Amino acid sequence: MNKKDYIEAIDEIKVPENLKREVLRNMDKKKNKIALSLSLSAACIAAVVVGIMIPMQFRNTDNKTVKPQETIIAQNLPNIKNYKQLYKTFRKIQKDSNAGSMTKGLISTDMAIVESATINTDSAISAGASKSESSSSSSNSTSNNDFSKTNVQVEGVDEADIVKTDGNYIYYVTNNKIVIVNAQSKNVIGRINFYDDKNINEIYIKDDKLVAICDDYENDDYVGTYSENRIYYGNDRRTVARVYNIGNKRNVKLEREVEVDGYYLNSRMIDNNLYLVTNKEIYSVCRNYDIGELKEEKLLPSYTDSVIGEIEKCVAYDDIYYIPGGESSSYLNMASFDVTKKEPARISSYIGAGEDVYASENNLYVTQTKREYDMSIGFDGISIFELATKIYKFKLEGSNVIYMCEGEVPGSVLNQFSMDEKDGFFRIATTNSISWNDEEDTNNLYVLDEKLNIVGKVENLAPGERIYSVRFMGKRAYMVTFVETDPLFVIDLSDPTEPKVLGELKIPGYSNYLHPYDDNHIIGIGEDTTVVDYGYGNIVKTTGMKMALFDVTDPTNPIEMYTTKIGDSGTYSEALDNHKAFLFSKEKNLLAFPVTIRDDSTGNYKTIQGAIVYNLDLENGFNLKGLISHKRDNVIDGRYYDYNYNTNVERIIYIADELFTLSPELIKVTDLETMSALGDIDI
Amino acid sequence: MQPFLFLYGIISIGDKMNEKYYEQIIEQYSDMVYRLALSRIRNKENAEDVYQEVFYRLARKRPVFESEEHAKAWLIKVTINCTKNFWSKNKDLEELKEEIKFETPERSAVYYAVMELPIKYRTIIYLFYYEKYKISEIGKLLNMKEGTVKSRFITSERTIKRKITRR
Repeated sequence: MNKKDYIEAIDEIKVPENLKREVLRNMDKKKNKIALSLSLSAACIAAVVVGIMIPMQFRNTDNKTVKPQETIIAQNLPNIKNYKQLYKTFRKIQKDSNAGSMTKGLISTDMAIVESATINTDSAISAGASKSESSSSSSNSTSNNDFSKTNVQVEGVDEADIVKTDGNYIYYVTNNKIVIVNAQSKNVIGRINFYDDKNINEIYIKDDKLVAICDDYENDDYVGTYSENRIYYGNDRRTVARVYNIGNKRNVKLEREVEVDGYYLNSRMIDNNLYLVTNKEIYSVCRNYDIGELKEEKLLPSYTDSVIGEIEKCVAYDDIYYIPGGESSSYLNMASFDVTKKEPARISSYIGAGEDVYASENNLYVTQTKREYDMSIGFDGISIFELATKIYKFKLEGSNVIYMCEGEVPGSVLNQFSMDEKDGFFRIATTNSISWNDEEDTNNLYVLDEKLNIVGKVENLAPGERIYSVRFMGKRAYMVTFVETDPLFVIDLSDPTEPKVLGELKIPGYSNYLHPYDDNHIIGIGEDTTVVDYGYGNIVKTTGMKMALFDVTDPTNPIEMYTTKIGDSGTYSEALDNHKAFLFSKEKNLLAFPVTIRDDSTGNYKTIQGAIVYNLDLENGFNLKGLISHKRDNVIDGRYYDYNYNTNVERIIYIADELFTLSPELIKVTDLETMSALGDIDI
Repeated sequence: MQPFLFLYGIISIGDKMNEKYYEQIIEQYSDMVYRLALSRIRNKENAEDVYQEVFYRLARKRPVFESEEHAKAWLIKVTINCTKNFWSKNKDLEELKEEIKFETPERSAVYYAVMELPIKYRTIIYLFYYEKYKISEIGKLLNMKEGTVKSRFITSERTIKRKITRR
């Protein structure tokens, strides 16, 4: 078994000859007819759009266009001054990238100069099933505070997710719409639909505002031009933040739309301020065209903000910065605004790219990995070399984002949990794989000062292993690395200049996610493993999911207090990859997450999907309370994956004593005490 | 008639993209489109429908490609979009049948081990190993974060290894 067999197998697959002939014939036939019908339909659409547009235009309080406040100051950062400089900068990067140093953009996301007519025509809000829901329903909101919130990394820094609740209503993103459910009456009271051209990712709620983060990357029907006689067809990916007023659930109003160039990287919300990070690739046009052949606005990142009008604006040169050393033929765009106010959004662009985003209450950090690839090695996961991680630091001041500085550490980060900030120090854990040999991987932890200079470090932890999870808790860091067994490292960070390993615990399996239980206990969720030898060396085999509670009261001697296993090999939970799928409440003695359990015990493969619910306390450890499945027929035989996603539980939330499990087709309500079913809400 | 002629002009302007040009693209990328569709749909008949839909879109839109890479990327993107549409209309379980008989058992083993992976995982494997895309580029094609592609790629490799050794 190897890469060669796979490639040869694919080589054997050929499209049936007659099908190809037919396609070739069609190409010929379509030549004239299609052009005409397309033009007809385009004309129709144009007419319709204009028709819709007029009544639905955003109403500005005054008709003057307001200039965004010039408050973004990037310290010590070269500014792009004009088109010529911009062109030269990209041309240089694109030439360099051709030589193969940094990752090179392939898919063009060259911006379209979109007609201003597109705003606001694709969102429809329909009334829900319950006619009895009075328009003043929001006034019954209680000051009830007993409900779950998105499992965020940093308290006070909200992260977007597909479900949010305020204790009275549930807002759930599914099948490209937001369903609003009254948690008391258990009725669907409204839906916010998004049509084909917009795809909703996730939402925030803040008092009477709902912020929907959408993208319109599906826009592959776009034809554009680079220059006057060149037609260009490509992906024009943009990220849209829509602010709805949800004060009246029966009449949800779209209040604002901010659209930024580039695909959605991440976002955060602190108090009323939304911070949106996007990446916009610049296709290698500068390499192929002279400055005069390109249009200036095609190279500039653009945005629209309904507060200043519906016409697309290019980011001003004053707000475009060049981060030396961050060469990448793309922009990192930062948009920020207060969702409760009508102030213009602040938009700034940085020539560079981003991957993982971490934010404390004061600063936001974006990482960029320097990578190299080697295609010559097969299925062993050693074909990617991760050399170093660049860190860009932005200061968050209300709705203002200020670029501060950049830093660099060896190795690459796993995810946002690899980063943390405390008392002005930035901490980051990385895996360093500088050679083709896994055995030379090392793991490190660095402490950086406010200017992102390394002031302390622990390097060469667990050689030959990779980081599987990290969690920073105050003055300590917990790090899980893995190859055959899972060492859990406890690292002391009380002296930032001298971080040191206090203790380690070696156990089988690994944790993909670490969650604090309290100051001295950590929950680990991951996979259990055994080492088997089929005759050609040791192979690590996963044998199912595993949860553990670690006691780190004595940091020099961490203990695995309790463990529990879920299913057999092939068992999976989104919580392993996405912390937002993980629900934990110490007060409620509750731990739950969606899971697909594979059960091989009977000799036949069986798969069950649902929400698994545990009690967890220090006295008794993990106690399985139950599995809530939305499947009508719980068990799917066979070794194939179940594609009926509509009954797959995606999230679990609680409000007071009721547990709500959410799947695209229905929401189930379960009593938290007795685990008895209280009813279904069809959505 | 003036606006129609104008629109017609937009569609067929450029380098006078002639039939030969598109025929070449069809010849060159037919197998790729079909393979990718099959790898995502896992059923010959439906993969053939997707294949036709992709080239129907090509015929209808007649995009002008900057380069061969651009044409290839466009076709991959459209194939992915068309298979997404297919899945959104056909949400029921589609069983994987071992429809293709490969020349060697090794090829068959690795092919079906990949095909048993969830859709996003097997797409990553196909694009990485067969089409030789970089992780960052796959991220853009599938609209996924690079880190997610990376972790899924690693998981896929592990799973494939496990499955093959179990057979």
